[in-house]
Amino acid sequence: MRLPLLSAFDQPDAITSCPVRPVSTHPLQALSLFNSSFMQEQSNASAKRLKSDCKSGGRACEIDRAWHLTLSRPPKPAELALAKNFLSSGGSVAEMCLALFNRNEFVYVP
Amino acid sequence: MYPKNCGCQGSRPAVTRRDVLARAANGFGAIALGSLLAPPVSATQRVNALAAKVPHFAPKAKSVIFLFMVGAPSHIDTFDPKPALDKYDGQLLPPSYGTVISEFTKGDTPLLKSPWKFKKYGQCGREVSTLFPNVAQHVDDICFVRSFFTESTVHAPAMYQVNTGRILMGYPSMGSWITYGLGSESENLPAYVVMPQPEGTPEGGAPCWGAGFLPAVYQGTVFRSGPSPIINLHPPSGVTPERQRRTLDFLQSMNEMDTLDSDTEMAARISSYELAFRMQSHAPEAVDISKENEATRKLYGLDQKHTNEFGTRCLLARRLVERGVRFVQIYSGGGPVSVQWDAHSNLVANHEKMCGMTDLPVAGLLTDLKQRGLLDETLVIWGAEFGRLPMSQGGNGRDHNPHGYTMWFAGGGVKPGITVGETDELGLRATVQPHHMRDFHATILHLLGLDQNRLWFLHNGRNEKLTDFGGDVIQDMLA
Repeated sequence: MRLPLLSAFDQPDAITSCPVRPVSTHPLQALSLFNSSFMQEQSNASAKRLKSDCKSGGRACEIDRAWHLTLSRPPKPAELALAKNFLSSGGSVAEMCLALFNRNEFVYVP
Repeated sequence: MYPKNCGCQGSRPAVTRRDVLARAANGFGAIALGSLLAPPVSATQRVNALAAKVPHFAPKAKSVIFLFMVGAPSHIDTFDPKPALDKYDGQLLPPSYGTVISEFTKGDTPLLKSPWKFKKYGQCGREVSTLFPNVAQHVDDICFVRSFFTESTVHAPAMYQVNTGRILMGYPSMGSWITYGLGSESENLPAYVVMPQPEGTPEGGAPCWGAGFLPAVYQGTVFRSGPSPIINLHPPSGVTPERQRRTLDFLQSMNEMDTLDSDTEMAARISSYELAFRMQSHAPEAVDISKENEATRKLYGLDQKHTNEFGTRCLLARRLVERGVRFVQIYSGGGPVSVQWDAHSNLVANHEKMCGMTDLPVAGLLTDLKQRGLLDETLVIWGAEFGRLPMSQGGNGRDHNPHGYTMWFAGGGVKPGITVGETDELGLRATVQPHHMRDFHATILHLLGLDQNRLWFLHNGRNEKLTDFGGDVIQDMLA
């Protein structure tokens, strides 16, 4: 059984043995990471968690917490500015989480 | 444990989960060695796996439309007339033919003449039965190969052999090999599109269009019927294009912060998001047939109930190859046995229904490709996993026949108006110029400018090819 999300990311089928794992990059991966109901659920759940974790901390706390939860590190100053700008120009916290889940640093281990 | 209070940045754990993964991966020498030993071609694949590639030699065809008749039409009732069957109707197969084991019968049932009449058509005088009155108008553009044979009497393995070259599942499909070899001409659409029967997939299922051990990017993308053909193509409801663009811009600015100039893969990832965004706006246009004029809709039979569904898929196939899609496969039949060509009983009702659904649309596709000047560079293939026996099953049906059957080709550098090969007097076995599936594949690759022996992929320490051992280009088919 191949999970739809993982099969877009080269999950081998279990029918034959697989000595080399090919790595491919294609738009159907981006579509599933951006539009699938699974990613929507996860982004909304994260936004909810950030809200409850940062009851009195406000935006700065939510951004900092989001970076720690997804990337295990605090945001760099430039990132903090980007995120603040994104949220103040109409982006939602759930959309910020979705963008973080799509970020190269989160999706791939360098 | 990571403290709940996130405000304090000094509390970062000394070693994070991500650090462990990154460092552990460096420690696994075998993994690094594996990538050193991988063929150098993989380095370029990672940049943009679907970028158009230069073929091995000048191609005749640029794209392929493969019309697959699931369950197997009877060659002797459609494109390979056998007058001797009229003579021997009701008699047993002569002992000189030897033993014939099929799926349900053992060769000891009486011969059954074709219930349909054959007529000569076109300049070439090719004989076609009354089942295909519209396709028959195109015989001067068609090359019939009447002498294919395959190795399994069972649907799924035989389907794997036509599609992947082996009777076992799990090997890359022909469309995957071709996309791997040639990349895509389209910037906004998948390179390899599969359109199954809406009632269900063929017995062989998704491995018929799988990428096997090739990178997953080369697998067939299934188009569903209706306005959203690609899964996850549309943003969730409530997300406007502007909102999505804003999120995407935010993501791309972050990704650019991560990028080193030397990191080509990162560039590919960033561009894959832009391509996905473009696909969201272009794919719906490609599958929107509402702007096709009345004459075109009629040509494909969209105005008639029994041809509307298959005609729509044929019209989509034309729109896709027009937009640079490399390989399109359409399945006629799938799901319940009643919607397949598998005429074990009541051959007449089955074939009249299935031909009725497909004859006009297939002819319309050929006409349309020709009038748009696309037929020269588009190879159209009509075929199935095997043919049907000259002997009867249950009095009015026919069992599976992998020993000899017909597939036909049009356009794409194929010599028109000819037949290649013959089956015996009764249509049981391919006797003159018998052609294995390896020849079928070698010829299609050749027409696309690919040498079967130079298109390979290292798997399990072996350079795997579509044609495995041998396989000859069918020279007589070439224009």
